Amino acid sequence: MTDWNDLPDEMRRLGLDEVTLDRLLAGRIGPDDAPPGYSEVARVLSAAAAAGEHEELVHEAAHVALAMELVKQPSPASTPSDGRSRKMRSRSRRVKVGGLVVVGALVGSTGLAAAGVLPDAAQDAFSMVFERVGITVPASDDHPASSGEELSGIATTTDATGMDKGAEISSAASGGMSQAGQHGSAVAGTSVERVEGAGAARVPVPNEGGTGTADTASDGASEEGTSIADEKSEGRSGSGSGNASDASSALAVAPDPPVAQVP
Amino acid sequence: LIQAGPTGNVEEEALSSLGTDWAVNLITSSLSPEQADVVLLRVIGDLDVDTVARIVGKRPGNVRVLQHRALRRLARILQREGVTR
Repeated sequence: MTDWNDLPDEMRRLGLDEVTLDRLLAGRIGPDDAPPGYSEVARVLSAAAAAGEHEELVHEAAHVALAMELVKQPSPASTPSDGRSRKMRSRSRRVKVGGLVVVGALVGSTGLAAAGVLPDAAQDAFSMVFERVGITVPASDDHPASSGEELSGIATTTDATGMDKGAEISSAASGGMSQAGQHGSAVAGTSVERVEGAGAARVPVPNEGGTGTADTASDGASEEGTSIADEKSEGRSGSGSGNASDASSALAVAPDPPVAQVP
Repeated sequence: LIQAGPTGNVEEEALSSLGTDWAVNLITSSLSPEQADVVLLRVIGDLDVDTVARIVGKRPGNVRVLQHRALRRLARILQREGVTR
């Protein structure tokens, strides 16, 4: 191949028209119907295509995970800092849209590969293909835990605790695709540590030391203001603050926090 | 323990799986990585040329040429060495 315009000529020289080639690749041409010299190729492609016939095993969660991996992929046009950024961003957006189109098309065997349910050789081959293009797919010896019983076994036998335990279970359930617990950090005292298995905290968690911080930063003016507010409100300000503090602790451990009841 | 697959026939499934493994191994060992990627995505993934092109980061025309060359190479290898399963 030397130039874009040479492609049709080259394909003619290769001896297969495009329709025949597409049917061969789809496994729709048997050895007896294949063009001269391609009967064994048709046999190989038909056998390989059989790997995609396990559609009842499609795993929705794996599709979503694969879709997210695809959309997350950095586009070839990384964000530049010079004046051409609008044009480049436009191209980047097109690449993202292209990624979404790809995601829409990945309802066949590629999703099965992500779910780790193809025959071993096909699974390994797909893992290799996707690894080369930057997507992690489990290999044949890396099947995700498929049953609640299996996950329960991990949960009850692992020595890990807290965030590590959650990450281990999540990783087993997703065949290693989960990144839970890999980005976590205790940013709000003990509050984050109470959420077992959580990775990065996506929302700010209330800080128990907020009053002290404000007081230090304001050279004592905050504490004085608090006292005045409490005095003027006949104690209601202090009560409300206590309720809010209780509620902020609950936010860190409960998915649906209770509403703080302020009098 | 071998579980029955889509057809419900364990023996048929086992033979089919062996055939699949043989075919996929032949494709990955005989072709260049680029050719194998394109053929596997098209054959097993059942993806069209444009989709494969997006995944591997090439133009659709390049993908067509890669798949043509891949099949020609497979044909040459299978004719030269004979098919043994």
